[in-house]
Amino acid sequence: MDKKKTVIEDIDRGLYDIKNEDHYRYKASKGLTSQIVLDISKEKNDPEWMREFRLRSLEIYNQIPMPTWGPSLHELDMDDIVTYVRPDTEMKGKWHEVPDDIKDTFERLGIPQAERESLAGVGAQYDSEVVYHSVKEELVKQGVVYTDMESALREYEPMIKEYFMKLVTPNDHKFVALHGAVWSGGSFVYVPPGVQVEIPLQSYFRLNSPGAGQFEHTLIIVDKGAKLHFIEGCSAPKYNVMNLHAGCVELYIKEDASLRYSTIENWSRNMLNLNTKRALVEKNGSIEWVSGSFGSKISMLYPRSILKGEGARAEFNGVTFAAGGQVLDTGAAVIHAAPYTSSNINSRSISKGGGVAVYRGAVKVAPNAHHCKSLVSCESLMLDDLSRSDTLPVIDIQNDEVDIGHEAKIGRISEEAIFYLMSRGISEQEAKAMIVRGFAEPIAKELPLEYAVEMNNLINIELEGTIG
Amino acid sequence: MEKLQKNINPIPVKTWNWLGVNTAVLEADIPAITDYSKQPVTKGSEKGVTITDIRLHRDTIKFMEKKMDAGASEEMRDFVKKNHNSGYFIEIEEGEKIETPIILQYDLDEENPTLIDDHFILAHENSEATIIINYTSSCIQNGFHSGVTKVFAQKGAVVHLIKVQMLADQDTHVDAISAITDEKGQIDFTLIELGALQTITGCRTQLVGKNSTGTIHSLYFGDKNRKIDINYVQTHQAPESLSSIEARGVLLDHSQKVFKGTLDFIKGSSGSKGKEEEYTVLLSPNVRNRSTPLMLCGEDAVEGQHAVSTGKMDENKLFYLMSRGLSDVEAKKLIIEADFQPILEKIPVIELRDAISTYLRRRLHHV
Repeated sequence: MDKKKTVIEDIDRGLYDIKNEDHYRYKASKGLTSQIVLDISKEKNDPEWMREFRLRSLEIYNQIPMPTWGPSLHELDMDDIVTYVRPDTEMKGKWHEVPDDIKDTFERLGIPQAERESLAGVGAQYDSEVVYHSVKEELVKQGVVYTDMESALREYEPMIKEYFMKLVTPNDHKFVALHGAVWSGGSFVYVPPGVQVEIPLQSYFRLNSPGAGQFEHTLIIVDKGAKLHFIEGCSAPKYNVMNLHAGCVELYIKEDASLRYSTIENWSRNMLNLNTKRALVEKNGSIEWVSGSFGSKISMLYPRSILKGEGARAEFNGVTFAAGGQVLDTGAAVIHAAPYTSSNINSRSISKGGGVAVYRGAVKVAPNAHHCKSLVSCESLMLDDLSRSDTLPVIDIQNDEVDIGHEAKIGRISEEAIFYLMSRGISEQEAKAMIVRGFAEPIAKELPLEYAVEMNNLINIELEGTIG
Repeated sequence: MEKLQKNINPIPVKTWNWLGVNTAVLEADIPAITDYSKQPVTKGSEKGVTITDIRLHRDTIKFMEKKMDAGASEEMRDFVKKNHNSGYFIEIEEGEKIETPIILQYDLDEENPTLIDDHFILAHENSEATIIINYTSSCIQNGFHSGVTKVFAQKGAVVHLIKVQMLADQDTHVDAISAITDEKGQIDFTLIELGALQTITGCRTQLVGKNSTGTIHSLYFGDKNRKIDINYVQTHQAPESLSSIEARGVLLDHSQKVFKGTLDFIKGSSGSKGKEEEYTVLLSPNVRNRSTPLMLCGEDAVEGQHAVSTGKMDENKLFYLMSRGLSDVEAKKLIIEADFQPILEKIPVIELRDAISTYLRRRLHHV
């Protein structure tokens, strides 16, 4: 008799797939030309240096070839992508001022409720612009800045000029160059020295317009000894045309500061998600990434931590769930560029129904980074033979005072573990259920409560047989 | 003289170019290929074995070659086919268990500074043999070796191929192995890379028969300015196939190493198991050590695992040995030899094992 296999249901996207009518105040023409870039710059009233930066980025974009590795991006046709859509509203500071259809979208996604219950500030972006922004008064009094990037460019121009795309430069790769040319929206956060922001800030990115791209820029500076938890969420309804997301996240963590950056990414299945995230961590600072990747048709997402100061730390906890038709090429990279730095990467992936989950990682240790430690652990569950799961890590070490380990596993549920649990009085069925649920648990427990619930809804596991 | 081969030893799936592990580049120019006039076959005239010039068997092996992966690269395979100056077709008859190892000893010298060797080993059903190919060099000028070895283990056959490379410090070594196993076939490789200025070596085993097995035990040693690029691939194409890769190495001085090890579970390889381990000891602040342990999986009912660990020598072991009166250098030598011993013991010829130990001890004088 054929052994029954574990059934994992597809994600119910009903909530995310509700689409609004495509109202907009301004929409760029399809494609990517210097005139379109100039039009966006004019529409946004950029300062001169930013206009030049956009044009230089476009030049770089035109010079850099498409990546020669990773998933095929042959479906991406920039001539069909609209790079800028200004929604039919200004940015508001109160939810009731936001137009009803947009507000309803965020209500359905639970953002205003989360703001009331558990967040210190919220930014909500709809298509290319932030439509709502608020931050609690006590944080403002402490000097915390949390605003949209356009406002930041006007109000904190010297700081933006100093940090904007200095960590992720347009030369890094083709889609960052594209981002530099057409970016719009996103968030700016500055936490002054010593300020501990105990409850999280959250930005939510919603793309509504069919065939559009979203290119938000997130810039966070956590100054000396300060602390922040930032949450990013994103979604889009499904259309029959390809959408593109090429955002950019730059995180500066100063001496003794710490930042936790959590993301649940749940784009629709017509989305190419080519996001770039990077953190620069100074002496004794720490960055902690928590990442859940569930949506999109193709994702290429590898948060990179650069441990620049002595004693800096990075931690990455990520879970990926690739269903049929999806290629989720995700992972993490850590550059140990100073002595006594440490990193810990913990990645879990599940693939089913023809989905492809790839872990792509790198740990690089510079010649001067003596006494550094790194541990990488990857585990994969593949639930049928239609799917794929690949692990592609690279370790590059350039001195001898290191302690580096990597381990990866793929396979069935351990029979020994089931036997052990059953010997403690738990039924076989429940033992298997516990093990499968436990697979994603190390990541889920790192998420804020409401996101952990969302993740559990996303991975709706119905146990009927064994894994494998 | 011709320049060659920028894209040799490719990994099966590319990753970021900035890591420099996707392919290897041969840094030396290829010298003019002269004859290799020495007789390399030193043992192997036993009953049940025939060793003949590979050129006489081109038609016989053509159909088998078609099934095989290119190993290091198509370009390199073509280069060897076009330029080879030595090569043997080694055939083990059906059911024969060859007790004495078949040994090919290649030694580069001033009169024979280039070696392009092309070998094919065919083990017929239920046969068994051990083949040793040993490369040494007494060249004063730059010696050059480039070679391809193909192995076909038919149903139930067992082949143990041992390759030892102890070329001189300025030599170049580019080597590729392609292997296929039929049902219940088994191919065990012991691959020892100790010499040459640049080493680029690859081994690909395709487990095409049910219940077939492929193992690789590998040692590498880098000192001075040596560069080593190793690329092992075990492809599970059949159900219930088993594979393992175990590599151990030491790097000192300004040496550099890239180790690429891939376990590839193709759809249909259900019930297969693969395991990969690499352990590197670093003994100088100027080394560069890159590891790329890939696991590719298109089949759910498999078990695969890999582990890499890199670091300094175990301080507790060192302390213990030094507390027993050994000097720092002596203690380190002893630990390295002990680490290498399980793999060296897979070589059944004591004289060769001793020669490797002596060679290693000489090279370890300044650890």
